[in-house]
Formats: sequence, C-alpha cells, structure tokens
Amino acid sequence: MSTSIIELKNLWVSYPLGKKSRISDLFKKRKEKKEFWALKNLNFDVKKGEVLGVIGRNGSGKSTLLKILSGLILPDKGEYIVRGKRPVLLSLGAGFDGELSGIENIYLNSLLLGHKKEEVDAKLNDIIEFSELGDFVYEPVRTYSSGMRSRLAFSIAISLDPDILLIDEVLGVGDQAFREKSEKAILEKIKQDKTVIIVTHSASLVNKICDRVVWIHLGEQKAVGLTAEVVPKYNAFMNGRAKK
Amino acid sequence: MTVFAKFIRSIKEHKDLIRYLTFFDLKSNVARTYMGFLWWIIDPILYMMIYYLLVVVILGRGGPHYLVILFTGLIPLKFTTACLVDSTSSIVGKASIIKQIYVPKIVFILVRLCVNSIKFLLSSIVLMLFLVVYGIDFEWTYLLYPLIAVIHAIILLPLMILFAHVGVYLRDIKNLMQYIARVLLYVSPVLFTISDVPKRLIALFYLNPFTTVIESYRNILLHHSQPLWLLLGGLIVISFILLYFALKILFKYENEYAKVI
Repeated sequence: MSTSIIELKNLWVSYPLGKKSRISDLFKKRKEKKEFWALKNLNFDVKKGEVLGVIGRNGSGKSTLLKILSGLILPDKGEYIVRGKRPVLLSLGAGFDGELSGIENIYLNSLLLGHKKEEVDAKLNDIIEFSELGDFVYEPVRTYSSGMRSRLAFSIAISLDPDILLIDEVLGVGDQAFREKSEKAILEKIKQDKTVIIVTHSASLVNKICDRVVWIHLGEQKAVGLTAEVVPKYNAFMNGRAKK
Repeated sequence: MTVFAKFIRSIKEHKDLIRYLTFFDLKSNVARTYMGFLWWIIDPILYMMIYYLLVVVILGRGGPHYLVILFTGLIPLKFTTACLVDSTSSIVGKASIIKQIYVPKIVFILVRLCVNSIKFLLSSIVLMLFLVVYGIDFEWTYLLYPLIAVIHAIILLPLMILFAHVGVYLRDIKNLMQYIARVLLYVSPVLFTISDVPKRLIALFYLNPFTTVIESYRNILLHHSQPLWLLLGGLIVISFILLYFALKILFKYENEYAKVI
C-alpha cells in the first residue's frame, strides 16, 4: 500500500462574485452570499508514484483544482495536505520576459518555480539541448515563435525534476516530433516513481497513461478510482449529454 | 514575531529570485529606453531648473544656494515617489505570473525597492558630484549618507506593502498616485527648507516622515551637521510597528489575490 503524497479532505473553493471591489475588502474578507463555489467537497488522495488523471468537461473546476494543488490559492473549507515539496504546474513560460534571452528566461522561470540558482547552473545544458533551440537561446524571447516558447517552457519544467508534476493539457504543444519527445519525457518521469497529475478532457489520453482517475463535474467529485472503472462512466455520461 | 520570521524566511528562500528579478528589471529598463536610467537623473535636473526658474527668477525668492537646496531635496524625493508609485502596481502588474506560479508577493515588492534603491544609489553619486562641482566640501558627514538611505528604505517598505495591497483591490489608485506624488512634493521640504516654514506649521510638517529624512540629508550634505537622530530613531520604531501590521495584512490576503486579479 503506497503512501498518499497528497490528500484532499472535504475541500471547498469559492471565487468572489460581484463587480467592483469595495474599500472594505482591504481590511476584511467579504462574507457575502455572492460567491461561486468552484469546487465542492472534494475528497481524494494521490498516491506516491502514481499517475492520476483529472477529467471533466470545461468549467468543471479542473483549473481551480490545479491552482489549489500548486498552492496558488487556499481552500475556503477543508484541507489540502501535501507531503513534501509543493507540486509544480507545467506552465507555458509564466513570467517570460520578451526582452531577455532564452538563457536568461531559463533562470527567471526556474527561480520563479522555486529552484535554486545552483540547480539551474547544473541543468542548463540539458535544458538547452532538450529545447532544440540551438543558438536562438541567446536571442530575446520576443523573437521566438509560439512553438519555440512552448518548447523552452516545457524543457525548463521537465528538466528541473519536481517530485510531483502537474500537467494541464499542455502535451499538445510543438510539432509532432517535439510532442512525442515530451510524452516520452513525461513517461520517463513516471517510471522514475515521480507522481504525475494530468488534467484533461481527453478520455483516450487518460486511458493511455493514468493509473487512477478523478472525475469532476461542475465542481463536484462524481467518481474516483481505477481508470478502467471511471472512464466508462465518464464516457457514458458525456455521450448521454450529447444526445440530448 | 512569527510575522517577521516568515518575512526573513521568504527573503532567504527567494534571494536568488529577488536578485535576478532586480537585475533583469534594470537590464530590461536600459534595453527598452536608452534614456531609461538617465531619466532618473534628468528628471530631477529638469525639475530643479524649472523650480529655480519659478522660485528665484520669477518670484525672486529662494535665498542663497537655492540650486543645491533644491537638488538635495529632489533626489531623495524621486526615490520616495518612485518606490510608492511602483509599489501600487507591483502585485497587480504581475497578474499573469501570480495566476500560474506560487510566489510570495513580498518578493515583488522587495524587487521594486531594490531596483529603485540602485537607481537612487547612482543618482546619489551624481548628486554628490554636483555638490563638489558647486563648491561644497566633501566632509565626513557625507559618510552618513548610506545610513540615512537605509533608514529611508525602512520607512518606505511598510508603505510600499500597503500600497501594493491596495493596488490589487482598487485599480483607481494608479490614477491617484500622480496626485499623491504631487502633494508629497509640496508637503516635503524640497522647494524650501524647514526653516522657511512658519512656526505654527512646523509640527505638521514633521508628521510627514520624509521631512525628517530630507532635512537629515540636507544637514549632512550642505550644513555638515548631524542628521536628526532623535526623529529618525522614532521613525524607525514606528516603521517597524507599521511593517508588522503591513506584513500581517499581506500574508493574510496573499492567497486571495490570485482569485481577484
């Protein structure tokens, strides 16, 4: 029985609704009726070394869940427990400064993601190689194509070896060759006993690589369990809806 | 006390990030506008000339050595204004990062302080060169300059944190800042010295912490006398208390920002 590396207990997350901010917001949190509950009473564990899929249609609360997992926001009610370092979201070049070169952005992005300068120094060549950017790595990022930016962002995130990897449907970046390389790299991480959480609405992707799945619909947890159990339920539900 | 412990810990854990963000900001600044940094010096010089024109030439006031009186006030004021204005957009301006990666918000505020401190350092050198060329002697009191600058920064930090917090919730504050900057110019002894102020208003002027700071700079640079130690000491104590509350607010609301930005 492998240990749980992440635990969500009775988790509720809301977003404030309503138009303008009020001055009173500065000094006390609004206790208002007007709020939108993005996640309602989530209860599941993530085991160390497993690949967990989170599926649900758009607007189901998947992105909110990712924000909770990566520590960007705190739950309103319930608990979020993570044993070890905070998971890192594979984000596409957050914080990239177009005026700076590829290498400078590698440092910037890595430091923002919480790594130390020495780690980056050690992995710098690996990152540059993986990105296949060649000499472009010395050019300012504003000269890059969107594919190049994505490749750089992915190379940084994957090379810096977080223990828990959060992926938000980002596998569709770059051309076919790079996509295959990315998938291979992620599968490598999986083999190395890293925990991976993938958020997607592609049932086929989930079938391909996930051990277990959590299905979220309109903020509620509809099912959690082995891929083979949950995905058919999800598919049935989605097809049923489509017919209506 | 844990508020300060968290503050120190955040700095330690992210010192590389703070250093790099500061360095990249300065670099970006210079890349984007050639005059980027030069503007920090040209701006006070232009204002100095304009106010000299207004006060001495047109109004016939100002007194002897008005040029250096102005300049020694304008440079520290520029540091103050730049810090306060920058701080209001320090968190809100990083919305895209905040919504994707967890970074302690104090990092962004400290980066603004560091960037402006470096610009202040460089323009201070220009200031001292100006004074030397003007004919003022470089005396040992000049060595106290860095100390006053540090106290100046200590006074600014809690204010910057509060402005940054407000900046997240009240987007209007950005428009307000230009007026605040203006008012700050007039309620600080920049266009005049504290001895020009009518006796009954002097106490009010000292309610503005920057009055003490600017007069201290003037003392050491122009009069070769001591900074206003007692008042500075009081300001440090008040600033630390204010810092405690500012940090408390920041740490309490940090995680809400990602939802509201």
